[in-house]
Amino acid sequence: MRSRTEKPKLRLTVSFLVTLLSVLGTTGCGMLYGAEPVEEGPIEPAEPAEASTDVDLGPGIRPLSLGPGDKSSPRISPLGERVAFVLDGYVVEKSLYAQDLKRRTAERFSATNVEWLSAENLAVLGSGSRSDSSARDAEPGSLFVSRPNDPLEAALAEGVQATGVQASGGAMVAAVETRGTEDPAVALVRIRAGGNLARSFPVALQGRVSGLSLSPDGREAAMAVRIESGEDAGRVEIVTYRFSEGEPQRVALLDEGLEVMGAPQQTPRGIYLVAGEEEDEEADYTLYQVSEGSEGYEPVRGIGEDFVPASIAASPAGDSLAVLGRRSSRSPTDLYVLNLASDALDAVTANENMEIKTKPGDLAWSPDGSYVVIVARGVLSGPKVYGSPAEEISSAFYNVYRVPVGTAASTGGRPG
Amino acid sequence: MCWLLGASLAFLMTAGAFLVLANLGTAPSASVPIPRSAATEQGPQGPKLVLDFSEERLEKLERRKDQTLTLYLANRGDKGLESVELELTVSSEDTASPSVRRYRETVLELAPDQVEPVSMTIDLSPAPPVESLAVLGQETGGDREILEARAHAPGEPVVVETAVLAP
Repeated sequence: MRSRTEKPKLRLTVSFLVTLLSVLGTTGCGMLYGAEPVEEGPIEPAEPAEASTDVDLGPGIRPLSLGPGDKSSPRISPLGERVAFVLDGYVVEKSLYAQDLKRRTAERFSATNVEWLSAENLAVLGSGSRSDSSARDAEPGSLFVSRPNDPLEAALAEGVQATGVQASGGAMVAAVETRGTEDPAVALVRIRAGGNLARSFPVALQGRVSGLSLSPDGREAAMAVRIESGEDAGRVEIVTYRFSEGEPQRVALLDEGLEVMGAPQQTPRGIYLVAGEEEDEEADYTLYQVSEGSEGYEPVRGIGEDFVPASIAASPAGDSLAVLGRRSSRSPTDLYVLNLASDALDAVTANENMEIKTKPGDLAWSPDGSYVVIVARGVLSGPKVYGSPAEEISSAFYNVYRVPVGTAASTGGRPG
Repeated sequence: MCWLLGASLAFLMTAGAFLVLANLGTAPSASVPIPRSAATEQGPQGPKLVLDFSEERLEKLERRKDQTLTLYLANRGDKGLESVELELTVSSEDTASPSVRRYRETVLELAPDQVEPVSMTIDLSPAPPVESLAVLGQETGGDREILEARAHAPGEPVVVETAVLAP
């Protein structure tokens, strides 16, 4: 009997609670959460003045620097928060989108190249400054370490022939000329994030290293070496060096008269390099591939026979290649991304009226592989008037541009 | 079960009270239009300083001394301006170059709708090459020249125009 009298009460209670929850769901909760769905994500900083209206490189491309000055060697910090570059021979760094420029070397430093060693420390290649006593009289090709808020110390290494960094950040290696021996000798020197020498690997090479890069995992170096002695003197060989094995291995010997632009890029699909006839200013360069396990090199067919590459950079994951070049000798220079698995070449800029710098050091990936930084300026055929101060203008001067490439999902780098 | 009914009722009342309070704080935005500024309804008020380079004359400038540059100051407002200061800075795009030349002129009065040409004799000769860049083998000639003009009248915002000259 007790159960009979309680069942209707229970049903009533349950139905009341259902009604109550429905009312709350359609009224209260609906009002609290009834707004348009907001996609979560990082809040993009405001566009710099004049940024989107004055860039003739295509949609979505943003300047990371503004104002006068010849910029080169742009590099994104390992955490993706700051950009460092060489400005008229000295080194500066700044937040990606704010113009909080911070000078890291003296003004007349003669820097040629800069790399991030850590989130704060920079490695600077150059000859040093006459106004900076610590770096006085250093030789060209000297490597300095710049720590924030500390004066620049004496050169960490001299006689540096080339440097290479892991594209995702984390490792830097310098090819340093070894002194005191008659034969040309080189040591590959690993540099710690703190700016100290970690370990030196003597490498028996037949000549001088003209370009150096590290594999995506940082365990192997690929070098272009100009042979200085023997029957192959004057030719360029491509050499790999696995740090765990300690023996250099020639993977290709280029034809006589061919020179390599920049560093050969090591990827899981082999080594890629740009080479062309030396001492011929009119000569076009070609993108070559040294396939894994092969002893020769051959042109990369997927980019088209008329394509003229200028410089390349492998993505942090090693699955793509950023290529600065022209579809044909009459086309403007644009940035392309070559998918190494499919050989698909996609243009990521639509250059209308910009001069893009094509030196190898002026092209770099972000550590997460989501964008590439390049240096460019607008073509001026005559005077041009802007309605803003010079320091807020981007396209009139060489500036650093961020070009999204949309491959972040396929890369294994650190998040930016 | 009474306790369950009581608790539910209390919850409903509390939720309702919060909703009423929340709605009190946010008046419907559509019912209160954003008031327009008086200026946009009534046209320009007061002076409005405008600065202009003559691009045609810019093309005739040469990279040497004693070049005549004409800038135009205009008052597009309906009130006169006094003591309009005009400063022109001539510099190279090379930030390591210490060569910066400054020129100043003052226009004592600028009536409404008046356009006043201001001529200056300026030095556009190239700056000496920077040693550090010469060491690097970089080209030191051929830099773009920057002419940045700033006009300012008391109580008015600064107006800036920049002309960039190709080499």
